[in-house]
Amino acid sequence: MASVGSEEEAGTEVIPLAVKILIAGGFGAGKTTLVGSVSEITPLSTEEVMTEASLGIDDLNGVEEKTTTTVALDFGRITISDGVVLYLFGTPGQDRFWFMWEELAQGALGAVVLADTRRLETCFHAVDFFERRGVPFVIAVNRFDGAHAYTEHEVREAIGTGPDVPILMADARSRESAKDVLITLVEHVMTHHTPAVTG
Amino acid sequence: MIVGDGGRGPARLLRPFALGLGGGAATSLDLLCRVVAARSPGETGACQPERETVLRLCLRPRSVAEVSAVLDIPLTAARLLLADMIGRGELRSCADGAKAVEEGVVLRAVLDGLRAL
Repeated sequence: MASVGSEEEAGTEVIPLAVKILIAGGFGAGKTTLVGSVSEITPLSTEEVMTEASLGIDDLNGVEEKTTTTVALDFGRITISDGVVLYLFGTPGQDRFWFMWEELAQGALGAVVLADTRRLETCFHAVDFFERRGVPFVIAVNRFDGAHAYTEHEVREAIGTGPDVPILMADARSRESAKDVLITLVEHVMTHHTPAVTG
Repeated sequence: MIVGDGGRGPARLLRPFALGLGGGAATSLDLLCRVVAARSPGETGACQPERETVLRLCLRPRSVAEVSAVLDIPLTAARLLLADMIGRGELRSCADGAKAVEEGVVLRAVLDGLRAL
């Protein structure tokens, strides 16, 4: 009975609910920078190791020389309250890691698409993906030094999103700016999406 | 069949723990599934040090992703190891927690939390 008692004692500790927001965008758009700006921990990096065969490349030649590829996944954490912990996941930048996105998108509250106006087309895939999957998202234009300052209207035209998707200018290096982006996203999710969008 | 191949078959790349654990439950172990130690590290002797390391790390709830990152083991391996430890009762998981809370309540909490940062 003593062991049952101690088990119950251990069981009284509430495991906080974990929720996630995805930070997407092209390679080098500032995803990890943004995560690092608001995360309470230095962004962690985890790896998924796979053979090229699992990347959907149907190549019958050279199977005996399968190479392995590593996908790094960077993430940060924000303790919201005793009961809720928020994780921010930077999605892998390269297109061939799409399969990781599927899992990441499962149950995500929403997503931030970081746009780099010097290479705007690198965020198109992310926009398409979230639109198709019905994952609510906002577009944050990461202001890089020396990049032309486009207006919100110009960016919306170029990306081709509807007026319901918030677009805001941001500086991924700034904690306040990163906070604003996340708050805008959560407000957007609350006003434009009824419960049970996830899953 | 997989065996044979005239002796020129590819080298077996599976890691020993992958062979030893079997993966039924692991595929369903979400990246964000949080686990917490259900026994103290070192209670049953340390013949498998990585399990003790996991238990020490999980004295407070940790996500699968965190365990993988902090212990520097690939996600797939972390999933297998943690699923096995859950199966043995060494870890508790919160796999079903997400469904118990209404999304609106969570969003409100997240919004308040972010504003308070």
